[in-house]
Amino acid sequence: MKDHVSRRSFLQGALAVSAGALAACVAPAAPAEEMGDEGAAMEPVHLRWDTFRGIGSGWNEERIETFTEMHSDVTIELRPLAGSGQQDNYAKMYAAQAAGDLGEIIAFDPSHYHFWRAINKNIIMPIDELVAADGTDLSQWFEHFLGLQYYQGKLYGFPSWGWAGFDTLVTNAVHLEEAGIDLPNPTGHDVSIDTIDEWAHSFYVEGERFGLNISHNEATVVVLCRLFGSSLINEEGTKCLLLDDPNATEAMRWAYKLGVEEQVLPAPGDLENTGGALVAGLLTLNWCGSLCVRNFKNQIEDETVAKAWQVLFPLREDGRIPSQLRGGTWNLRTDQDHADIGYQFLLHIAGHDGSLDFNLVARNFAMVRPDVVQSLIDEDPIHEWFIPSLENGIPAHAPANSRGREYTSAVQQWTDLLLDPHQPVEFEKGLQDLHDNIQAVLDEDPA
Amino acid sequence: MAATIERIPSTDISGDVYRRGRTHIQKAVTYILLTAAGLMFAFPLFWTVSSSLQTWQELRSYEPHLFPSIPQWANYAQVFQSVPFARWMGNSFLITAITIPGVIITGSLTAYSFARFNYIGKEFWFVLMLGTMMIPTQVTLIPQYVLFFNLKLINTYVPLTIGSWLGGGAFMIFLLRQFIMSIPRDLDEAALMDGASPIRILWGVLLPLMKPALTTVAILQFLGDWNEFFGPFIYLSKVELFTAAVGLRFFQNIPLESRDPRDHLLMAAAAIMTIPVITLFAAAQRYFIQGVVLSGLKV
Amino acid sequence: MATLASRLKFPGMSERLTTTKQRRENFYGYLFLTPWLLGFFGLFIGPGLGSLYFSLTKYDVLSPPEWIGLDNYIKMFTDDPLFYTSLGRTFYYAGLGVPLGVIGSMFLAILLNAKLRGLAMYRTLFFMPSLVPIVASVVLWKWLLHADFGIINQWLIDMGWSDPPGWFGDRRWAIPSLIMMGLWQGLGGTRMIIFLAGLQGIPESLYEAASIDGATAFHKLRHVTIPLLTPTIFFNMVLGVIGGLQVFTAAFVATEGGSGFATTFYSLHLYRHAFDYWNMGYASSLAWFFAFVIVSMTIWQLRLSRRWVFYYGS
Repeated sequence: MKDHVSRRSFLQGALAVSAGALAACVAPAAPAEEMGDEGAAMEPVHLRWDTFRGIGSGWNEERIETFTEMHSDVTIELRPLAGSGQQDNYAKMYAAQAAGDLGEIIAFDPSHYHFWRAINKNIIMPIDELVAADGTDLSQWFEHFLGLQYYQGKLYGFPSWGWAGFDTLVTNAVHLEEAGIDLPNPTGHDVSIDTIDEWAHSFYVEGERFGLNISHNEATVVVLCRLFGSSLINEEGTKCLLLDDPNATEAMRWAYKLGVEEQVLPAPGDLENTGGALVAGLLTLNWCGSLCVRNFKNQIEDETVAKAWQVLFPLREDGRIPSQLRGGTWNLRTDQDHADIGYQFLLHIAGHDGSLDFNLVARNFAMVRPDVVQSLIDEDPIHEWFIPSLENGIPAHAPANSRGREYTSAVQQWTDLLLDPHQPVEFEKGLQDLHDNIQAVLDEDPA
Repeated sequence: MAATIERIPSTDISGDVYRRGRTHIQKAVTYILLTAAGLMFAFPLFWTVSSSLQTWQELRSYEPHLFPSIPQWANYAQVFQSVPFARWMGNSFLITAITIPGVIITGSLTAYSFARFNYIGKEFWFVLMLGTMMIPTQVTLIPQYVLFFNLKLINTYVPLTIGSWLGGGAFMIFLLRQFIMSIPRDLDEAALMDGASPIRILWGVLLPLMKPALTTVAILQFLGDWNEFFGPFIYLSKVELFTAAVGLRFFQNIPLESRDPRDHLLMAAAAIMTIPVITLFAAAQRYFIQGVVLSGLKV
Repeated sequence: MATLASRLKFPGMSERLTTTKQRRENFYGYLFLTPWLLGFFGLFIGPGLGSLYFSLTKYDVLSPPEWIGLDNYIKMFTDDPLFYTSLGRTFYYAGLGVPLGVIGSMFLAILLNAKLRGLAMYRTLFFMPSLVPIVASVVLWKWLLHADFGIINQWLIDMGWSDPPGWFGDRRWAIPSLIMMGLWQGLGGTRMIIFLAGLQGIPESLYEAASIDGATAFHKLRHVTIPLLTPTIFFNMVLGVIGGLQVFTAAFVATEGGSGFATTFYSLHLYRHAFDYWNMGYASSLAWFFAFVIVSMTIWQLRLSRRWVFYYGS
C-alpha cells in the first residue's frame, strides 16, 4: 500500500509538470465557450438529461415541456449524446462521470450490458426508497421488463423501452404466395426448423435472391442457440455453453451447414442492408426482431414486390418462445440533491403518455406497459403480433463480470469467422475459437 | 484557380522532356493520362453532389442513379434543420481561428531559434524534435486525456488547440525552419547593424519574406483541424461544442429505431463541409505550392 | 547525448562562437525555443512518462491505478490473439498502401511537371480529394463500394462480373477497399506537391546532357528523373510509413473494425481497450510497443536508404 502512494505521487508529479506547462498557455488558447451551467443563480432545481434515445424526434423536448409546466421551479436541460453507434456513448458517459459532469438523468441500458457495470461503479442509484415514499404502483409495467431493472434485490428504474430480441423471421409474403405456400399464422409458432431450412434453400436463387439471412450479432446468436433448446451463456453469465451443451453446438452446426457447406445464406458483405433487400424483394426471410416487421411494413412502396409478414420460431420443448427479452430505461445518477424531482421525471417519461409517445413520436419500440400495448393495437393491429413473445419470452443473460462490450464484440466477430464461406474454417475449429473467445471474456476480472 | 507552377521561380527542367523531341504523340499520351486520372479523381466528387440531391429511396435503389430524377435541394435545408450544423461549422472555424495564429507565431519562433541561433544543445533539441514525428500519438493520448480530464478541460477546446500554441508540431517547425534557412543571412545582419533586436528582425525582416511558407502552414493547419476527427471525438461530448467533422457522423448513424435513413443528408452535409475548404485552396494554392517548393522540403 | 547529436550534421549548425556572442545566442535561442520546450515537456515527455507508468498498472480511470508490473506486456505477447492479428493487418495495409501511394503521387507529379496548357486545372482536380473531410470521404466510398446499391458493383456486373466483391463488408476486400479510398484521397495531396518541389530541383543540365546522348523520354525518366527523386521518395516513404502504420480514422469510421476483425488495425485495437473497455493500463502497454515498432521501422528505412537513395552532388 505504501509504494502505491509513492507511485501515485510520482504520477502526480509528472502530471504537475505537464499542468504547469499548460497553465502557461491556457490563456491564449482559452475556448470561446464557457462550460458549466450549474450555479446558485439558476432556478432552484436544474436537472440534466443525458441521452441518445429519442433525439431528433421532438419527444424529449415534449416530455420536458409537459413536465416543467407542472413543476414551474424545475428546469431540465437536454444534452443529446451523439456517438455514431449507440455503444460509443457509454465511453462518453463514463468519462463524464469521472469528470463530474454526468447528468442527473441517464441511461445505462441492460440490453447493452452496461447497467450492471454502472451499478458496480456506483454511477446509478437504487430507487426503492423513492418508490416507497411515493407509493408508486409497480404493476403498471410488464413484470418481465420491470424484472430487468432489478439487480441484487434493488430496483433501479421503470421500463422505458423493451422488446423480445431477434425472435422473428421478417417475411416477404409475396415470395411465399408465388410459391403457393399458405401464409403461416403470424403468431402461430407452427413453422418447424426443417421448414425454415427448406425455405432457405427453395427461396434462394443464385445471384438474385436469398431465402434466409442470419446475422452474426449477439442478439441473433443467442436466439439461435435458444431455438435449439439451449442458450449462448448460462443464466449466471459465467460460462459459454457452445461446447458444453450439445443443443447449442447443434444450433451453430445448423447455421454452419446452411452458410458454409450449402452456401445459401448471405456471407458477410453480401447484403449490407438487409432491410433494403427485403423491401426490394431480394430476401425472403430476415432473422430479426419483431419491431423490424413494423419497420418493413412502413418502408414498403410496391406491394407486388414485398408484403410484410412474420413467421415466429417453433416453441421449445420447455414451452417457451425462443427470444431474448431486452429493455432498458433512464436511471438516476448517484450523489444528486434532487433525486425526488428526478424520480418524478422518470415517472413522467415512463408513464402511459410518455411511453406511448416514445413509440409513436420517437419511433422506439417500447411495449413495456399493458395500457400502452392496448393503445398501440388501437393504432395499428400489427402490434398484436408482438404480444405472445413479450408474455412468454426468455430474458437476456448478462456476463457476470459486466464486460458486455467485450462480450458482444467477441460473439459477433468470431461468429463472422465461423460462418464465412469465403474463407471457411473447419466447423470444430471455428466453434472452438468462438467458444474460447467468449469464455475468455467471461473469465476476465469484473469491469 | 489560375495559379500555375509556371509562375514559380524555377528552372522548369523536366519540361525539357517535352521541349525537345516533343511529338504530338507524347503530348497526346500525357493529356490522355492526365484526363483519365482527372476523371477518376473527379467522379467521386461528382457523386457526392449528385447523391446529395437524391431522395434516400433513390440512393438506396438497386440500380444506382447517376443523376437525381428531381434534384432535392431541400436536402440541404434539412441538414441545417435537423442538426445544429451551422453551429458545428462555426465551431470548426473557431478552432482554426485559434490554432492558425498559434502555429504561425510559436512555430515561427521555434523555427527562428533553430535556423538562426547557435546555442548550446541546439542539435540535441533539433534531433529530439524530429524524433517526436516518429512517436505514435497513441503513446501520449491516454495520459493527455487523463491530464486534461484532471484539469477539467474535457469539453473545452483547450486540448484541441493548445498544441498549436506550443510550436505546432515537428512537421510545421521543420518546414518553417527550412524556409528561413533559404533566406540570405545578409538581410538579418543588415538589420542587426541598424540596431534591431532579434524579435524585430523576425517581425520586420523575416516574416514578410516568409509569406508563402506561412500560407502553407496556415493551410495545412486549417485542413488538419477542419478534418480532424479523433481529437474532437475524444474530447468533446456536448453536441453544441461539436465540430462539423464529428457532427457528420450524426447522419451516418441509422438508429435501430424505425426512423428513415439519412444517407442523402449525410452526403449533403459532406458537400457543405467540403465547399469552404475547396474555396480556400483555390484562393491560396499559388502561395501554398510555392511554400512547399521554396522551403526546400525537397530535402 | 549532445555529442551523439552533434555527430549528426545539419546544415546551418556551425562552430561555437565567442563568449559574449555565445551568451547572447544562448539567451535568444532558448527564449524563442521556450514555447516548443513547454509543449515538448508538457504534452510529450510528461504524458509519455505517464503512459509508461500506466502500462505497468491496471487502470480504468474511475478508480486509481493498481501496480501489476509487467503483466500487461506479458499478456500482450502470450494471451491476446488480436495483438498479432491487428499487427499483421496494419502491416498489410501500410505495406501495400504506402508504396502504391508514393509511386502514384510521383507519377502524377511527373505528368503535372510537363509544360502543357491547362495543367493548373488538373493540379487542382488532383488535389481536391485531399480536401474532403475523412468522414465525408468514408461515407462517399461506402456508397460507391456498397455491396448492394454501389455504382461500382453495378458497373462490374454490367461488365460481366456476376459476383462482385462485398468491399468494406467482405473480409477479403475490406483492406483493399480502404487502400483504394486512401489512394483517391492521398495521391494528389501534399505528397504530390512535395514531389513537384523535388522535380523543380533537378538541374536542367542533366536533361540536356541526356538529350545530346540521344536519350528518349523514357530513358530520361528512368536514368535522370527517378534517380534524382530518390531523396524525395525516401522522405515521403518515411512519413508515409509512420502515418500508414497509425491508420485509424478511415477504418474506424468505415468499418468499425470490420467483419471478423478484417480491419481491426493496431491503433483500433488499442482504442477499443482504452475507450471502450477502459483497460487504460493495457492500452498504454500496447502504445509503447507500437512506438518501438514505428521507431524500428524508421531506423530500418534509414539504413536501407543508403543502398538506394541518391544525393546529387555528394
